[in-house]
Amino acid sequence: MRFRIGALIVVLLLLQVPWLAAGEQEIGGVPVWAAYALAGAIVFSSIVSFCVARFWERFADDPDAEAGD
Amino acid sequence: MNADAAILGTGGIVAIATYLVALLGLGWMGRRAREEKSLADFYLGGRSLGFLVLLLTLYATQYSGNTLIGFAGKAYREGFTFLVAVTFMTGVVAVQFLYAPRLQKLSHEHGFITPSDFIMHRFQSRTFAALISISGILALLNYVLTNLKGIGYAVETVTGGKISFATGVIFLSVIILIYETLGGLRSVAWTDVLQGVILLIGCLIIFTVILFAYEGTTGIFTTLKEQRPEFWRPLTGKDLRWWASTLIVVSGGIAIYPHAVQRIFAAKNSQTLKRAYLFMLFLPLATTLLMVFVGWVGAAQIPGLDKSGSESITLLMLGELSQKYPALQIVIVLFVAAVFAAIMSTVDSALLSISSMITQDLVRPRNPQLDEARLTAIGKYISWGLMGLMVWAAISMDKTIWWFIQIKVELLVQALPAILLGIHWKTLRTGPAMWGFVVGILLVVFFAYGATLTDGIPSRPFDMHGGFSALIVNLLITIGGSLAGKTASSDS
Repeated sequence: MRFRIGALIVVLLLLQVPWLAAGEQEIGGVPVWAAYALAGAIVFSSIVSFCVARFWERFADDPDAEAGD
Repeated sequence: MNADAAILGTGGIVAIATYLVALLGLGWMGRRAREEKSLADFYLGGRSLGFLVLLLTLYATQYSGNTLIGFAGKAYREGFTFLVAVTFMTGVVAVQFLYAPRLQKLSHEHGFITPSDFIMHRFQSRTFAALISISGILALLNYVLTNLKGIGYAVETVTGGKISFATGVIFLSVIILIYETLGGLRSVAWTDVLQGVILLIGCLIIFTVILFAYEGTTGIFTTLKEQRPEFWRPLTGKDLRWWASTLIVVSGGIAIYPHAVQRIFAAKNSQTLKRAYLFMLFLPLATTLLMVFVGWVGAAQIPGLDKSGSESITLLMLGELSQKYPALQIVIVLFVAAVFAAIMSTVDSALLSISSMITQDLVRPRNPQLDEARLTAIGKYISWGLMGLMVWAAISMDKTIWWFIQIKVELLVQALPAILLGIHWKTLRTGPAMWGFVVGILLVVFFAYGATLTDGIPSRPFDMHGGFSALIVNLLITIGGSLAGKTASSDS
């Protein structure tokens, strides 16, 4: 479980980079990639805060105590 | 510089002086709260930091003077691509979540004082622990030096030269040393509460004033597009690779600042730390993003500044606005106080951390006969000696050693595999982890300075941070070596 959450966080971290929205389009007067990066940071913070609230104790346990990792 | 150009009037200087006296008062309160003469009490506040103090000390430590001055200046020069700063500051807390819960528990069980205590506990290698400690000390020493220079320039600028650079550096360094020596981390954390509040309120008010005094969001972007149309260009593959590698290297490097790790050790308990991180996750949106936005407004309103001029963009705009609206002088005082708060909270934390690493990781192992009270006293002498050295360097050197600070986070992030994997992967082996770290450090230096020696060495291999490539090699050695060793021992 810890490995999967860790991998998810790394993937989401990298998804904040506007890989697929780097073009010329605009939204709200700013480049779409800038809006994407900002929205990505907000979504990322929200998902990680959920993980902190939900899985903190699991991350504090001894790795040996967790089966399946 | 003449005195007429002073940014702060007498009232402003009195307000700043009051703030400095308050710091000394908090230092004295920290001493009164001391429970014993031990390293854990002096360097970790007796491992008793509650939620509010922990949150604000984490915040004040993580956001330095660079946030207020450097980030706005960089956003002024680079435009929307500097949103990378918002993404890496959220990344810092995410990386800390991956290792902090377990490390906090271990630190309370085994009495860790410094990050190297964990390395020693996990890998049983004095050499590896010393290497991690030395790399942290070198990175933080330069951090202290550049921040001291920053505070010297700030004092000289805001007083219009009435107080010289050297006097400013010496005076504020002595104040930091006094409150730090009085109560160690407890004093530093309590002053961080005051500094953190000033920093947060300062950012919010400066952003609000600048946004509404100018043209509002839509007007700002229209003017900005006329002034700097290049900010709207599409991103290339090179831009995206640089963005991603910056995100990884800076998030990982800041996440394991030695003084940030020691605040994990200093938390009263696991739940306190958890709650502090839940708030920390959203503070980049209330601090970094606001200062980046201020930089964009500056690029629209006061175009044409060079690098040095753009670093003063916030002050320039506040100065311009206060001529139009004299009541806004108070916001300038708040900005100056926030700059002082941000720089001082960074210097005091870094200095305390360096002192702890020298005392605990380098002096103690060679002098096991010394008791805790004696080691604490030695730590205080080390703080004064180091600060003296840094003050001398800040005053006598024309330039900071920027070449070194530029690779600070790239050096620090090389310790991340040993800490992160060391916590969660039981079969991680000492040899591969240590050699991965050593090779990573050597590669960072190679990429950073090799290009200055010969054209054949790229400073940014594959258009990415040299530190990122070094981290990948570091991980390959650390993981590959441990897996190979596991296979070999299974075969035998």
